[in-house]
Amino acid sequence: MVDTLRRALDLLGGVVLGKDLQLRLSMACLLARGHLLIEDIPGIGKTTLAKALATVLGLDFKRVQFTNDLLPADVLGVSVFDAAESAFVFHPGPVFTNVLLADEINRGTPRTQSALLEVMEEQQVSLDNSTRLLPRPFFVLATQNALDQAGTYPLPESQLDRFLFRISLGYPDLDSELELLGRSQHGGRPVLPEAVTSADEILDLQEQVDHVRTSTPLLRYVRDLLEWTRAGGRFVNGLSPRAGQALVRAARAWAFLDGRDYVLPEDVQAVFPSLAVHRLRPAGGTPVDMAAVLEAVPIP
Amino acid sequence: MIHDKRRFSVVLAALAVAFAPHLLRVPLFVGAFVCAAWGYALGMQYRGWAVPPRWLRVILALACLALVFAWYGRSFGRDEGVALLSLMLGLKAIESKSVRDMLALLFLAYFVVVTNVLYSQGLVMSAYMIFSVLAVTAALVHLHSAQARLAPDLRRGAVLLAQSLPLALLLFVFFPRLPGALWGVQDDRDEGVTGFSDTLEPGSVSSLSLSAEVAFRVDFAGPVPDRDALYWRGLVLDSFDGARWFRALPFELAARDDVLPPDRVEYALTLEPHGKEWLFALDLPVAAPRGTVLRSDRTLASLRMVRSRMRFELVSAPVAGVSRAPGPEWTALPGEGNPQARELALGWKAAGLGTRAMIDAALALFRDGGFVYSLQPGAMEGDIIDQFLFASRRGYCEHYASAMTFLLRTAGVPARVVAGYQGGEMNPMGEYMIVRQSDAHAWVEAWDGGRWLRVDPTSVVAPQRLAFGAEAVTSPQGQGVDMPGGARILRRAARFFQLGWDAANNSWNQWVLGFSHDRQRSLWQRLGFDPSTREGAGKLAGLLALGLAVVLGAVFWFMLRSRRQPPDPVVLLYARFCRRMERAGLPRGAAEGPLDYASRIARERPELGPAVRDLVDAYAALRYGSGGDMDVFNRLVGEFIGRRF
Repeated sequence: MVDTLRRALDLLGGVVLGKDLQLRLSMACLLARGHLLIEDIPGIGKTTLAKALATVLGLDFKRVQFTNDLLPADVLGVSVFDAAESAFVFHPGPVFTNVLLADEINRGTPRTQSALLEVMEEQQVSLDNSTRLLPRPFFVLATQNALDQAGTYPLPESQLDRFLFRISLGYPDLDSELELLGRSQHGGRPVLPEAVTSADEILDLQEQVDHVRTSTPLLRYVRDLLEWTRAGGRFVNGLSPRAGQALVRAARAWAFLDGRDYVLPEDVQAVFPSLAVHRLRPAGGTPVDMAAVLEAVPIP
Repeated sequence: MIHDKRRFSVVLAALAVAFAPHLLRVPLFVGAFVCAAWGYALGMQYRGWAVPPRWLRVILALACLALVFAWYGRSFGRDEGVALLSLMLGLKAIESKSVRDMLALLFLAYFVVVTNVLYSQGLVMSAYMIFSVLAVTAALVHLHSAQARLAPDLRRGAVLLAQSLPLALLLFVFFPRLPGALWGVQDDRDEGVTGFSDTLEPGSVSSLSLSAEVAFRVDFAGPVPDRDALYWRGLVLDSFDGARWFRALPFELAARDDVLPPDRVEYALTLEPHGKEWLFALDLPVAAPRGTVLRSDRTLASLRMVRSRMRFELVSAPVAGVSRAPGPEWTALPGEGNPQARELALGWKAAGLGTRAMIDAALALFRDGGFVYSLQPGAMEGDIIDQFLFASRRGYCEHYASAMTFLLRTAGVPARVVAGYQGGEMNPMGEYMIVRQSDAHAWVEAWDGGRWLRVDPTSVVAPQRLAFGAEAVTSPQGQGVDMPGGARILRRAARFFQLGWDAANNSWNQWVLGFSHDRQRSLWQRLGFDPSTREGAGKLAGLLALGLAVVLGAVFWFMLRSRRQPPDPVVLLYARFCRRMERAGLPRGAAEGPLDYASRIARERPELGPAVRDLVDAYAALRYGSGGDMDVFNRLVGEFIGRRF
């Protein structure tokens, strides 16, 4: 099983060049049943990442481009009266998929954003007195442009919490850049690899991740980390218990990707920056390096 | 079979250290059995010899028991107990199969170490016992250690012993002591030691003069009196039967002086056991310490036989108060014998000499009559006084004292022989005085002017005896023989070590063994708790109960605390590994996980990489995973710490 994931990561590495850590985090995010927020400038490969991920894992993929006139119905779907049937027929929105790329989510109105985020949490769509389950697994990759761009609605903090990780891809390194520039086939678009697994298998893997062992000393370490973010007034708000649970889940997924059936402090440390960076707002506005947080909390 | 032969050997070595002093004390068959059993036990470990079957072991145990009782055949005491204990050491060794058995052996060894005090409590034995405890403790540590090396375990054993020292001191000072010897055990060897008997005959003092054995030691509270005043009075001999002087007259207790004389000398005298009741005190004792009586002849007697080393606080003054005039029994002599001496003395009497003049006449006779002070006066029989005075003219102090007393008594002057010691050697290393058997002496007391007057005829014959001690007379130099320079230096060095050793022993006796029931009691009294009063005893009991409550409370608290946080052996071992790496210059960061740490070590010290990786994997699996093999991890850490890099 883990071999499948390794292979998938290898294949992805051939598409998104030089971004092994981000690929791995994305994979861990998916395995931990979380959603991923990618914050970056346009044209850096966010869509490529999302598409490639969906393809390699054999998942259904859809994409929504958020604009300020996008309505919730455009995302969730809508019931339309069918005269022939004399009944309302539900037309599912793009949300009914396995992997949803919500492009430039901060361009959408808060109302639409909320609708999507609610669905992300509930994994179901409630409309017209009926509840429709989303396909599983359900994984949202939302991208967000840097916040200083005009005409955006930044996601409120309470809603940022819905994303397990926030990562940024950043510019490719020199070698990768060179390879990217040299690509000539398909007009420079990457060749998408074939699927190595399927939705059912992913569900199975998610199930296995739940059984990765977390020992008491490790949980104590996570507790100390949470405690540290809350004490001393370093941040406006410390990490919530929900964030703590998410941290444990993410660490499990990370350990699972490593082929271990137990979580080490290193796993927690590996996922902590991506998990905490959008949840912690530094008091006084001075940015706090997440690595510094890890440095400050000793492993019991 | 014990998985580790080496450990078994270490345990056996510790047992051997603990048992060694007993080897000479137990009967031969016990020693032989123990050694044979240990040999067989080693064979079991190294050669795979079979463990003796249970029935054989039972028979062996019963046989040992029967043999011990058959051998001693009397009531069960110290020697029987030690013999049995020794046999158990052997028996237990040949049935040792597990670590638990080895633990039992080691605890037995502690017990064996303790039994040594039943035989000797001296400095050497105590030092050896401490060494034995260290050996056994180190073996105990080694039994639980992962390493093959012994040195760290010895170190840890020493640290444990050092840590227990405060508690031991506290118990030593405050644990209630019983009066009398330890557990009523008598040290048999103290019987039959050299010393005075209560008779004086030619040769009885000179036989002591070659013995360097210590008679007693003295600590002076103030300045040390002059050497020629150091007459240590022991016995007053009042009767003569023609051959021997002895004690026959009934004695009374001396009147108690309420006021101590101003020129008194205060000192503490530690008497070596001599099995008799008399004590020695500087001329003349004025008060009787606890447990002794002062007789009217100004000698001290203990109420108990001096069978163990005893310490007395004494007060003496050069001149005692006036006492009652002695009766005719103090001039009594046998009806006949020694006619020449009688004639001489009666001649003095007829010439109308006073007591002083007669004493002077006797001293003049000794001084000018060609008398020689000698250890080998030759055998005498019959009229020994006549033979000495008019024939041989060679004698030791007892001859002179005896002859002079005889002369004085014949002339009608009450006189008596006093036996004791004269002189003593200051030990510069302890500022105390050693009086040896060779300082044994006898002198005369004559009644004059309402008090007993000390007269020492030896002082006119051999003045150097008083000035430098008996050795000055008996040593080759004293007898005019020259010694080569090298021999003299050697002799001086030997003397130095002898005195140093004596000083060490004396301190040990004074401060450790001498801390008796009485001294503990006086310590309580000085602290304000007099156990002899009702109130003081109540306070003392309350204090002890409080102390006990504090100690128990502390123990309980520690136990409770340790229950709350059971020390995880995995964490401890990992911490040891980290300390080792820290010493190697690669300390673990507080927030550094095990795998990260291992990779960093592998980067910095590639040669350690594989070993560290294995160790850390084992640690991670044990601490964070569900499985993991503690033994493997233990071994890995042990090996890693043991390796050099």
